[in-house]
Amino acid sequence: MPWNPVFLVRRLETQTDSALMELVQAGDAAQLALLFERYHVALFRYLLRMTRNRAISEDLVQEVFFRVLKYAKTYDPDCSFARWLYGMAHNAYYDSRHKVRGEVAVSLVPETRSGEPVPDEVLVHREDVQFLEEALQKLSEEKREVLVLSRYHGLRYEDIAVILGCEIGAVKVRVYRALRELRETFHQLRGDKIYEV
Amino acid sequence: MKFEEIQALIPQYLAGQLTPAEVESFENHLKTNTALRIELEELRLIWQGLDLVGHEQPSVALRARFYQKLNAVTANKDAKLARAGWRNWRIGIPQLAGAVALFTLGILVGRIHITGTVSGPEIAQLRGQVEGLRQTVALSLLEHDSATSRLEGISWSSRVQRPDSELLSALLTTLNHDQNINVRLASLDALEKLAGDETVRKALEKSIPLQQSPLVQIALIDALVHIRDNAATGELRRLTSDEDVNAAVRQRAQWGLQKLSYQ
Repeated sequence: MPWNPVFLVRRLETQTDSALMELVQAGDAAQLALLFERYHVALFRYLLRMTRNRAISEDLVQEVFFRVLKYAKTYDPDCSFARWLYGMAHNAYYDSRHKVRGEVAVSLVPETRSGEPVPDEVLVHREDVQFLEEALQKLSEEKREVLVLSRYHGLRYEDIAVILGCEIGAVKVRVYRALRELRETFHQLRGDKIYEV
Repeated sequence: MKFEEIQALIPQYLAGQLTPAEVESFENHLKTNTALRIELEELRLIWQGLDLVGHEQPSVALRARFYQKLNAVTANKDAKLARAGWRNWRIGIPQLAGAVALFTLGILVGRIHITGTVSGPEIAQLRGQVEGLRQTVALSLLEHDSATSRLEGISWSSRVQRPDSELLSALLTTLNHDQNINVRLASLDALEKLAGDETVRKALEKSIPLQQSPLVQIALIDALVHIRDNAATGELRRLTSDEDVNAAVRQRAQWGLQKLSYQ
């Protein structure tokens, strides 16, 4: 049967991700729409950090959601949907990496949110934000991914460990090292002196 | 615990992901270890700075393409067969547009080949023709009965660099009156990109009371905040105080008011 948007809206605030996935598993593919609304921007940002290519990232977002549909039966409703989804995105990215390498990386010039109040200690100059963006892109793929998943997507270390297929201890060390390297590269780009702790 | 092991807890401490017992232990180390305190503050600056990067938005076309595919997956097979003839014709519109654009380009290339040059006005004329063609395709698709075709029309409208008043009006009508929620959401995405036009901003503000779907209401609030439309605060206030409005929408409107008040 074609899906009914009104039915979807009623589920806007009431249905958990897992409950929606159970419906998708039962053959109600239309419920994927609400999961798409909840996650597509975050997934796009994660994939953009990895590919540095908007068009490829958008294609991958589509690919991920159709993998969700294709492999819905393999989802365990007792587990975190976000973890399962990011696992799909991680795999989709690595499957497509050979194509991505042929592309020219784009500069992700950050949007400044100058209108918002910013704590005094936070980086406030546009130039600093650009240095930080550049430093993030200079991290190795492995370090960038673990830092992005941890910093921007609210995933816990145990979830990231499952997504990346490694131990929690390895995630802990990688995030820390990535953050340190980010700080060092940022200061190098600014031409600051770095004092090792 | 070794110093390296304590240092490795810094990101989790900054992310608020340590357990209360781990926080207490970490803060005890902080009291006695100056090097740890210095490193924490340096890394905190970087951690917080990351808030200012990474707010890119996907294009309008992503949502439209997704719903187009999803509609295709969920559509009734019998209905598909019954409408096959119409769909074949509809699919042909973009293809026809592409063919005409290619044909026009071919003429231009031919002229360059023959004369060795091409004038600025000729290029401008070609661009104008392609632009007009895209607009015609978008308008034509927006009038179709099928939601998939209307989504395609919105996708085409995003390729028009300077939509004329007719296309803007069609997009606004779609936002306010289309029966399909996903088509309304996609048209909102398209219109948000055109919010540099004062008419569009005003129309988005006026759209708030016309929307009944919480999903579209929330997307509209997000769009007005994103384009920093301070003139929308009156409508947002009305939403926050309307008991008939969905609680999630009232909450989002409150959030929107706070965001706009910072600007």
